[in-house]
Amino acid sequence: MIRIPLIASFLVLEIALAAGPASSDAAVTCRRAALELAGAWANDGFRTRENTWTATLPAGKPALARVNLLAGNRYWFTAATNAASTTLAVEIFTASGTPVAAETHRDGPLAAAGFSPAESGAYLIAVSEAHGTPVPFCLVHSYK
Amino acid sequence: MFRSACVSTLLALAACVCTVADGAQPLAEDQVRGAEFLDGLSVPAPGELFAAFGKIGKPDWAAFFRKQPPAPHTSRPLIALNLGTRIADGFLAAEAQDRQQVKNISMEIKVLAKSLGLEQEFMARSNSIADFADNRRWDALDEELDAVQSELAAAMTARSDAELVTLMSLGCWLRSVDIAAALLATEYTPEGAKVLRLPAVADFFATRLDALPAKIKTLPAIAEIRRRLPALGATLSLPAATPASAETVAGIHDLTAAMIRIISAPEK
Repeated sequence: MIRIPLIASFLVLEIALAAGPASSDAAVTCRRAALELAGAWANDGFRTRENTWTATLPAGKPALARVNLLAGNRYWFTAATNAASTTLAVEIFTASGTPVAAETHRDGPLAAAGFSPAESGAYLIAVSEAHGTPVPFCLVHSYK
Repeated sequence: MFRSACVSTLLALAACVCTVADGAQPLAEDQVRGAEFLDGLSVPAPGELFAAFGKIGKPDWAAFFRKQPPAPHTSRPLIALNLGTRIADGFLAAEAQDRQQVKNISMEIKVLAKSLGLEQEFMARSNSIADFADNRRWDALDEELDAVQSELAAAMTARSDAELVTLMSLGCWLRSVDIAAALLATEYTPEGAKVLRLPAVADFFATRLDALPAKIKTLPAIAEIRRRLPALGATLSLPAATPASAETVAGIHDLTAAMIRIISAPEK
């Protein structure tokens, strides 16, 4: 019973990930795929921020963004790349760089991390690729 | 169609989400220092701030509606600042679930956008805002207001008005902190004080204001905001273990309320 929607969802994501070679096309494709995955959190009452972070990963290291998160809220950070054979990861760190326990989702070129901060303040969001490949990516931020 | 795809995706995710720190290694100091601060991602949206406070109690958001709209302005930087404050007021009206207030503020945003030559960029969103308010789709309204700010910012950037983006974002952030501080000053709780901690945001805006052209940053209203931002930043950056006291929260509200009065006052 669950198999059909599962297959359907992966087909939808696969279509979204069939990127063109141009960098602007890649950005659009990454954004579409990230928003597609973030749509799952929206179904659970999460609001998705309009602003996204689209960039190319630096070779061999993660891309890092500093965000202000608020105690009491729950967050999902969802990333996608158009490079289908890659393995993306999203991780959350404290402002001093200590990893925090988060719910994680990893599925090749799609990844997400969910977190409910006990304290308001600055946190670091890291997007990385398993082999350090400098691929384009888009990060989407959802909260509730 | 889209909904069923989302449901399917959710089911798929439920099967493979796990809770771990993943044995991740701590970041090196240079990595921490090099983390990017991104305007649209790093600064909490007003709806994000209000959502956090909404979990502590049942705030009477309508009590924080402004009694008078900002005075009309002709200076584009001041219009951008006021536009930001009105977008934050839109989030407040959505939080208060007040249809008429949402529509009134939408009209004021339209007037301000028109003053900046951005009326067309707002037109389609204006209709959606009214529809969402009529249908009481408050979450969707929040996302629409976020989209309004993002689209206006994109249009400003496209017209080489990047400095207006900074001012609109600053106005929106200041008004959202003003509302949150007003709420907390009225009904102080240590839990609420823990929420109102926004380190580095004021510093980010102070750096952006410093980089503005001299003719903009020397405008009296903007010079005054620049002068007051460090004090606001310090009170919003207290250690997490020692949240702001009731007196400190009252001080934050005094600071932000004064800055909002400066922004909305008639031009001299």
